[in-house]
Formats: sequence, structure tokens, C-alpha cells
Amino acid sequence: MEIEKHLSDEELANLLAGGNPQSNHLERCKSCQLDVSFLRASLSSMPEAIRSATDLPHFFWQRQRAAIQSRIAVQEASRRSWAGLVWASAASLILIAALFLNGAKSPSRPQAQADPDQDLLLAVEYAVQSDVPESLAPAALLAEDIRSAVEGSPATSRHQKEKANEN
Amino acid sequence: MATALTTTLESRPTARQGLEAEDFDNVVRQHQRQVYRVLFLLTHNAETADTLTQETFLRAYQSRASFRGECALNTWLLRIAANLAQDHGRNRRAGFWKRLVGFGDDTTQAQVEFPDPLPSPERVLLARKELEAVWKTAMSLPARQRTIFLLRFAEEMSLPEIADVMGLRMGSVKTHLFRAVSSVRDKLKEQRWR
Repeated sequence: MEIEKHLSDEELANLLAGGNPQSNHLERCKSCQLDVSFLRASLSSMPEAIRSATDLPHFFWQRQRAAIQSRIAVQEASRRSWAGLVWASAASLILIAALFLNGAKSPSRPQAQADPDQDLLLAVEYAVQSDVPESLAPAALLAEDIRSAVEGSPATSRHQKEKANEN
Repeated sequence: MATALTTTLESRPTARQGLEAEDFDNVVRQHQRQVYRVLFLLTHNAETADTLTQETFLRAYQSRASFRGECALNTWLLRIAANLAQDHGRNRRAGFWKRLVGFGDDTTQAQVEFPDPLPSPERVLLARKELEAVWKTAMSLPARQRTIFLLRFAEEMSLPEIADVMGLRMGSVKTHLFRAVSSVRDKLKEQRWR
């Protein structure tokens, strides 16, 4: 004769969780029926009990939300200040690097366009002002005239004075 | 075979539902009660549950970018909460030796005060006694069995949800639950015949 086993823990847990019996043992076994009904009754009050234990007044939840918001705000502010610090540091580093790189290069001065007339004039003036033989004195005067014509004022006025004297 | 222990997963959000910074207050509003309730179940202490609820939402806010809707939002929040409760339990155990001298038994914290339910005196009293017996029995279970047992029978979560929250496989969750039910059954029987 086969001895029928009582409900296993697995079957019992399944039944307690609202599942269907996997065999018809429960229908025949008084002991298992008692077991199941007792446990079911005991466990069924748990959800309600825990809900009433945590059914707190409205202000509790409000206070909790406010606390969470304030903690998030503090965290955000701290995060922002860190972000600001990081950006400022990065900007400073970039600036320093740029200055460093700029300083490393040799300074290039803008080259003025060479003016051939001006060069010629200067060469002539130089030649004239250097030891000039007397015979070339009029040429020196001529060079002076040319120079003053290029530069403008004082020489021009001297030339005019000389012209007036000649007259 | 489909049983009540393998109920289907609840519908999952499509993408980052309600996790923008601007909407976060709504997320808190919607889920704070459940998170608090579960933490109360797991820590057995109202003050700790409150603190850890705040911490849960703070952590959720910090890592909101990592939530991609692979599970329900409440499952994700409860996973954070369960991890925090686990860490808290670890820290508490670590502090056990400090409390040992002078402060008595650590298990005194496990006494949960249930509020007096509304009317019908005798029946309510009996139900309350039964409930306290179940609660006391549940408290004596190993941590993981206890958590799974309470999430299933007090929070009425499905096994897939519990597996998600605890980061365990379904088979493992079932095994823990069966063991827990077996222990509870034995202990309740003992108490009944005393």
C-alpha cells in the first residue's frame, strides 16, 4: 500500500501564494487542510497590518518630500560649484598654455615695405653729408633740396629764403 | 506550469519614465509610501525607514541617468532600497559588539508596533496576536529568507518582482521562500501547541 505524502514546502508555499493545488491530496488530508488554513489566516493579515503600521499622516509624507528635495538641492548646488571650479581651472590651464606657447615663438615684427626712392634719397644724403669735395657742393645743395621736398617744411623754407636772397 | 508564484511581470515603462529632474518630485510623491513600507518591513524601525527612504530617492536622483526602463520604476527604486537596507543591516551587525555591553539584546528592535486596528475587540485581538506571532517568526528567519518572505506575504510582490529587486534568479527566490514558509509553519505549530 502506497503511503501518501503530505504537502511539500513547495506545494504549501505555492498554495499560500494563491496557486492551485498540484495534487488532490489536500482534499483528502485533514492535517494539511488545517495547516493551510491556519497559515493562510495568519499570513493574510500581514499586508493590511503593514499598511496600517505605515499609514502615516499627510504631513509626514510632506516633510519627507521636503527633506528629499532639500538634500537634492544641496547636492545640486555642490555639483554646480564643483562644475564651476572645474571649468575655471580648465579655462586657466588653457590660458596659461596659450600664453606659454605664444611666448615660446620668436616675436615677429612687421616688416615695413622698402621704399626704393627713400633708400636712394638716404644714400644720396649720406654721400652728400660725408666728405664732399667743394666742386660737388651744388650737388649737395640739390640733394638737400630733394630731401626737403620729400620731407616738407624746414628745408623748403630755407630754399625759399635763398631764392629771395638771390632776387 | 503557471502558478500564482510565477505571475507575470507588471508592465514596464517604455523609456526613462518620469525620471527627468523636473519630474522627480512626482516620482517621490508616487513611490515614497511603498519605498517607506518596504524599508519598514526590512529594517523594523520607523526612523531608519524614513532615513533610508530619503537616501533611496537621493541615490535614485544621482543615478537617474542609468535607469533605462528595463524594469518597472518601483522595482528599480525598491532595488536601491533593498541594497540600502542590506548595507544598514551589515553596519548594524558590525556595531553589535559595541551595543553588546549595556544595551541588551539586538533583537528588541525587531519588535514592530502595530497600531490598534479599528473596532471589533476580541476578533481583532486574536488576529493581532496571530499577526505578532507570524511577525516574530518571520524575524527569526535568516536575512534573505526573511526579506523574500516579507516581500511576498506582507508587500504581496510577485516572485519575478522579488527576483528583480533582490537581484536573484527566480529559482533562488523560490528556494528561499519555500524554506521560509517551512520554518514559519514549524515555528507557528510549536507556538500553537505550547
